[in-house]
Amino acid sequence: MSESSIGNAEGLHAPLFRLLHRVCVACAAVGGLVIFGAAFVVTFSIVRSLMGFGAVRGEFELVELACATCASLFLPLCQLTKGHVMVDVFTNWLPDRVNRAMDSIWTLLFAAGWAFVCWRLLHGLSEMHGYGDRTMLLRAPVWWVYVPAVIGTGLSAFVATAQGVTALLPRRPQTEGV
Amino acid sequence: AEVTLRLHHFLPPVAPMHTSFFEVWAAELAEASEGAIEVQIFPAMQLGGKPPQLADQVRNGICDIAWTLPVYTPDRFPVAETMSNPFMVTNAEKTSVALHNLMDEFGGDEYRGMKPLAYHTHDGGKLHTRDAPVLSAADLQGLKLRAPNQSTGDMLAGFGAEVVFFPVTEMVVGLSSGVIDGCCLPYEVVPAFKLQELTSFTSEPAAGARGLYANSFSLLMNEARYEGLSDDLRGVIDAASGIELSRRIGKQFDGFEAFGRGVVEKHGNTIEEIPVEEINRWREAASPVHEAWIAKLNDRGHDGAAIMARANELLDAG
Amino acid sequence: MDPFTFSLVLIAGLFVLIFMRMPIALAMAIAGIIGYVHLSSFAGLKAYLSTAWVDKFMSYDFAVVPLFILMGHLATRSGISASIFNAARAWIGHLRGGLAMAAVAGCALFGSISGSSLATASTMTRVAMPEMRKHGFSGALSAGSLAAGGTLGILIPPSIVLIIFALLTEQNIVKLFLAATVPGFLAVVGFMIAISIYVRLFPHEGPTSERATFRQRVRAIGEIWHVLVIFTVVLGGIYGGYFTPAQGASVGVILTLVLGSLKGGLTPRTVLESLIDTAGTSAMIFAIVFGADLFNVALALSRMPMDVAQYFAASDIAPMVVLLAIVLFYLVMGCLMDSLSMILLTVPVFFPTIMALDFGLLPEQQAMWFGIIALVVVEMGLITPPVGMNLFVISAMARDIPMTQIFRGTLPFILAEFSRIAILITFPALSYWLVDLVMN
Ligand code: NA
Ligand code: NA
Repeated sequence: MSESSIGNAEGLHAPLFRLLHRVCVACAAVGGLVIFGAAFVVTFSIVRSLMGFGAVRGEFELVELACATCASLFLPLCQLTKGHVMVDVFTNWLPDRVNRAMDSIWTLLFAAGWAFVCWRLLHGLSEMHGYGDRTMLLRAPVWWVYVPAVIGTGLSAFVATAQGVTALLPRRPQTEGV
Repeated sequence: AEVTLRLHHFLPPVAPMHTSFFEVWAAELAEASEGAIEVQIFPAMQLGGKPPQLADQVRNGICDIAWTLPVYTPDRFPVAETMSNPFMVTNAEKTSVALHNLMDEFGGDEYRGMKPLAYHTHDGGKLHTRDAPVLSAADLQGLKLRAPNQSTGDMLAGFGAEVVFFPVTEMVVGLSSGVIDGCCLPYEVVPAFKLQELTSFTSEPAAGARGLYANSFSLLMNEARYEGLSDDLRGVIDAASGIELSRRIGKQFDGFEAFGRGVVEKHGNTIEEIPVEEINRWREAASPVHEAWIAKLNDRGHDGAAIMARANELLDAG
Repeated sequence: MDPFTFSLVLIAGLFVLIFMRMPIALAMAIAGIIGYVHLSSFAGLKAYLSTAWVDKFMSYDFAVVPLFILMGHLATRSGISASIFNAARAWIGHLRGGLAMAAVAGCALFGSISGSSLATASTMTRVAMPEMRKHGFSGALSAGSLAAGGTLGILIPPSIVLIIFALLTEQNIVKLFLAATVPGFLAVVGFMIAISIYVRLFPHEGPTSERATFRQRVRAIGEIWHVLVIFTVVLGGIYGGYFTPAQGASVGVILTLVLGSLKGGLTPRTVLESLIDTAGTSAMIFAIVFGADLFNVALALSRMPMDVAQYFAASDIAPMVVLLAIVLFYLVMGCLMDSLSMILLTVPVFFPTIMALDFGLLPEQQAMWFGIIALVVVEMGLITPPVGMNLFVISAMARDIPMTQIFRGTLPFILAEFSRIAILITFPALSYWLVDLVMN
């Protein structure tokens, strides 16, 4: 949504961001299909149950796993499109340059935050793998759902790093027509 | 206070366990230590995470003391979980003492990195239903029931019930709208979820029969925190924990049970007894569940048959 | 520094960060991390974060968030919104200011299948704004009625903000949805009255347009049967005991997909676009929820919320004064902040405080009453300058209307909202009698 500043700087690294955009959209689409799939199974389960055939076993767990998966896989796209809400009324009067600098610092901080969470989730993944915890009905290994979480937070960290660094780089006069 | 201990649990602060045990016990520790120990209680998972994480939280030092259920992390604490099998409960006090003894004898290293303060159970679960009482296995046929844990669910499913494992919040919604026909829970939780309004019938095993199931609980302390206390303060903790604490909590749960039963009665619901012979038949029929449990204990390097036999012996002796 | 003072410093620091353009999710997470490390330990934080993200969202309750958002986006892409506006217009478009009223009614209808205000505002702006402008409606009135109408997205169930409130306070979502129905209906009435007064004061800003024939009216209703079916099945199913909220949301998604495809608006491409839209909106919410969770744990560690609640319970300040102070705080903050962040930020402190006070209501009634008031006040923040998300959305979509005009057009609706808040505070029963009637 908030366009200009970083958008122009990114223009200089267009191939990288085009690639990132494709990866993030793919990630989000997979997440969307997962939640879609869950909605489909739930609906199927209800129809079955209304017709007297009994609900699909483990439907609740499936929805839980799907929710965690889509929450994780949706993240990078939101980072890339700067979808995280912020309040800008108090800083709008400042010169563009200052706002841009602030935004890029926060973006880098965001990157550090996601990287930290990603590192911890990797630890959590290995812990869950070690425990061998499984869900009650589907007997699905719980560590599975840590995989999209690591991917989502890791990719978000990468996206934010790329955005933050690109925005801080000195801006060369734009020669290519964007 | 010289030492502040953070106690984390998952029940809301209005739960009887919070008001009549945790708060009282915290005050006792403060008094016994002459104010040196302050226990800060964080109900309703205020320190974050979900109930299955409580044991890890206490091990990792996220909190100092936690109250948790082994069934939340299936298979991770199998000896403590043994009492959560169907028909492994008489009343809460006796079952709690039996569980504590069982853990002393067989549960040695199950809670590595943690200092167990007490083990206990609640009283046996009852069947709370909307439309009709459950007096025989035939009544379970096709009944949509919310099961409290995996093994009890297996047992109920074995009798033809359609078992669901709703989270409690969903269970309340489901019961009020008729998505499910009933649930298997002790009376103790009835007031909290207004189950007396959501169901009309309660079927309880007749006196002398084993209860349908009871979940086991552990009250755990971070080991490093315990070891790090001065000798005096460790003595205070020691005096306030152990098998006598298990007995006491069990006894309190029997009290909660009686109170909850009163609520059901006062609301005018029908309470029916499932005859002893019927329960014994159910117990017989549930033996595959117990066999499976023994196999699981064997898998985990225990002598499953010995643990099961000893647990039954302790229960019958109590 | 004692933990209580520390928590106040932490909150102050959080606001400084937020007002320095830091994304709200990040600001809450950072404040939470600092608080956690100070009040507990870095080792504890490391251990906590190794499961917190997955723990939080591996949740049946949270699944309703992306599901209801997806349902709304599918409805938008399937072109249902245009028929909604046309139906409302056929019935009330001929009144003075009728198109603006039709826009509000359209928003209400769309709000009954969408859980988000921004989605409602942007969808209905796309269809209703050009029509209003074409018929000589002023920019102010067009923008104002759409901005206000957009808030019906969360006032009328399903509502993402109410879902989050229910999750935070462990209330029953079904009951809260039901509780919001009467106040939501009041909002529609209030907005209609605001429009009719406005066009009487400034007749040239909201002219009348041609009256539709009866045949046209019936046909217009026939065009929106999709919405009626989705609404009836989803909410009727939830209240009628056929399914739980998350199941209802799932059914809603599939039903919208099927009906949208039949209508011809949904193709594999538009479905994919809906998924991508859903990803953006949901991730923003999930990130804020996660940041707020960290911040709330830090607050709990300081024990400040419990101390505050205890203080008010023990003090002899009149409960109503406390409530009004909270409402005032929400109104001021609502001028600056986004609604969901505000709920996530404040409910952990305000909810126990309110629940510790005696208003002569049952705890459950009191919780619903406060939930509805918080929802209404916070939702008003969407249309109060300078930061009103609905205003921004409309401004972005109607570049020819100056922001000052948009602010002016919103004013009557803000006044209507003030009266509604006063009514809801004065008559708590409005927020729970329907629940008592239906559920008990
Ligand atoms: Na809505
Ligand atoms: Na505002």
